[in-house]
Amino acid sequence: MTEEFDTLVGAWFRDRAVPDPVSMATVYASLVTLPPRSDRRRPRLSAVAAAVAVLMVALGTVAILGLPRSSGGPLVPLPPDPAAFAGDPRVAACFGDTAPVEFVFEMPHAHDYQRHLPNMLLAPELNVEEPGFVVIYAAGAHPMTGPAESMPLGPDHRTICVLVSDMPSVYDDVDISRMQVDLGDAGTGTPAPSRSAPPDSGPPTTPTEAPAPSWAADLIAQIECDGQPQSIGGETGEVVGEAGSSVSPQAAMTAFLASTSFASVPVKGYEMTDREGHYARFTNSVDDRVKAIVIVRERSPDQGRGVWTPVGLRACDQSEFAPGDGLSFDQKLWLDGNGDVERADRIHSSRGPEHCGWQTAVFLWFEGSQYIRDPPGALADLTVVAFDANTALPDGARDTGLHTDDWRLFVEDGAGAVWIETSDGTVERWGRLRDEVGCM
Amino acid sequence: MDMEVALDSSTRPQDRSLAPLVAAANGGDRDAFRTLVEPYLGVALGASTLLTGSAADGADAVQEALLSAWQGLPTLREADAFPAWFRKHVVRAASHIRRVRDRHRVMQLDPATAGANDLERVVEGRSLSRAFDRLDEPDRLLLALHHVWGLPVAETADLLGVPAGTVKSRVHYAMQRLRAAYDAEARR
Repeated sequence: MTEEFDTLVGAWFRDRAVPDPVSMATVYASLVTLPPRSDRRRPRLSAVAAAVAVLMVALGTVAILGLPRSSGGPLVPLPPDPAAFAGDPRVAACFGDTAPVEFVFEMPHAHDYQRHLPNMLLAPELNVEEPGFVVIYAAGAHPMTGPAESMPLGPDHRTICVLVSDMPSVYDDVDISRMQVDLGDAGTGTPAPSRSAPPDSGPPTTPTEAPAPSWAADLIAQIECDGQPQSIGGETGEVVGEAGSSVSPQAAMTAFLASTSFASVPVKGYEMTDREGHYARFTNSVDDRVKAIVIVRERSPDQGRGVWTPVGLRACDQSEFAPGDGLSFDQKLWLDGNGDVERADRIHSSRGPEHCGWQTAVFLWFEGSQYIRDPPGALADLTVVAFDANTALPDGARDTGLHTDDWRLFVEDGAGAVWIETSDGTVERWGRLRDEVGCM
Repeated sequence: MDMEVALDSSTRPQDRSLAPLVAAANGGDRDAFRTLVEPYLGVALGASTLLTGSAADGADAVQEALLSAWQGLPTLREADAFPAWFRKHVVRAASHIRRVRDRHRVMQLDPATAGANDLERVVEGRSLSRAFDRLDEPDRLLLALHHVWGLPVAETADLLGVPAGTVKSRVHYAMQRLRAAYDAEARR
């Protein structure tokens, strides 16, 4: 992380953190018009609801606005009748006295919210051990905007409130079909069938049950590498990038590529070559040869709005990617004597991680050993030979021809170091690390 | 790396108990509630604008937070914990609004760069806006809490629901991802 970037980020945060006068005035206006406690209804349509309406129009989904609302018919089995919680302060804390309530139930652990409500979108703030108290408002009701101003929702969609540690959170437009109040000891309680899934049709199909398409298997055989592929990633199976979870395959890829700090894959040049069921395949190719494959899979599908997550990744050596596609991890590739990119599994370098205090160091991986440029001597104890910022090439030094814009690599057989000639003619000695080190 | 901008520390009410104000607000006194929240509105709006990605959504989030704090005041156990408690409302409202908005858009909006006064800075700011928008919610939240609110580690950990010992490394990793996203944007 460079100081320049830190400065840029600091300035950007400062700029962005200054509220604009119009927004400030809006907030102040709402402050002076807070409703009395006996009427908690919000006095106006929220700006976000209006914005969502505009966006829906823009996205061509306005047609659904005219559809009749869900009849609000009960699901089976029913959660406890709200009357069972009459007088419970948690209902009031979830604004249950300002909007008609259809269902109320308790979650032993808030982090199980997607087991109770499988179609609910991700809510990271609920990933806590504490119990959760769920209030589901009647169809069309909203505790903030009131029925006249609430957004039309699809069948089985409701506004809900979840109370955790006295903190209410309100979620709009939650699909409560497949709601499950009692998870049972093993969390395998019978899901409540929805109108779209009659009781005799069996449990809804989930991506984990659906077989993966053939193109999602044996990824290693699908990439066309000139040499050994990278050891990162793996075959389709477990999640390989939780941070890549998103609402569409493309968005999941975008998020994944922005977050793969510890994998070196191209950040551009992908094409969605296949999509079938709950799977999609993205490939990055050079001259029609596949160099990287990412499989994303949809979890908790909900009428096309499930969560997509990378579940498979195979990639060739970094040197085989198109230079213009960039790398997701900040690795410097070296050139050989002819000026061609050398394979990264032979040589590459990268800066040391800041969180371990190694940001002034440069790590060099060369033919199975790890060397370090370490001016402050942060890792001096771990090297065979100490770093020297200004030395001379030993008599037996051999020019490997390997170079970058700034450095040229020299080696001597049997030495515990390599020598780097910098662009200004200075020669540095980089010591070899006794054991490969990493920083988590 | 020391870039925290603890905007609300300078405007924090003087060292006096908040209990009388909380008690009065609990009794329905809106002026007392206003006095309670007023010092925190500016930074709350700045942070929620960052978290939601737009000034309008940020203002909406603060309004929701004000309303839920007003309604939920009887559940506040420790009056002097009001500032942290109010921040929780802001963060949750902003996260909620962001999620709702994200479901209804495909392309990320490109918020204007406030205060930019030259072309280079405009371009950098735009890339950074896009990069920040590409981060996932926990990263956005963490960086906003860290850089805008400058919260102590313990409160950040509490807000995020993570062990206090992991906050610093999480900030580091989030910054790395921001850097990677920024570099990717710059290469576009």
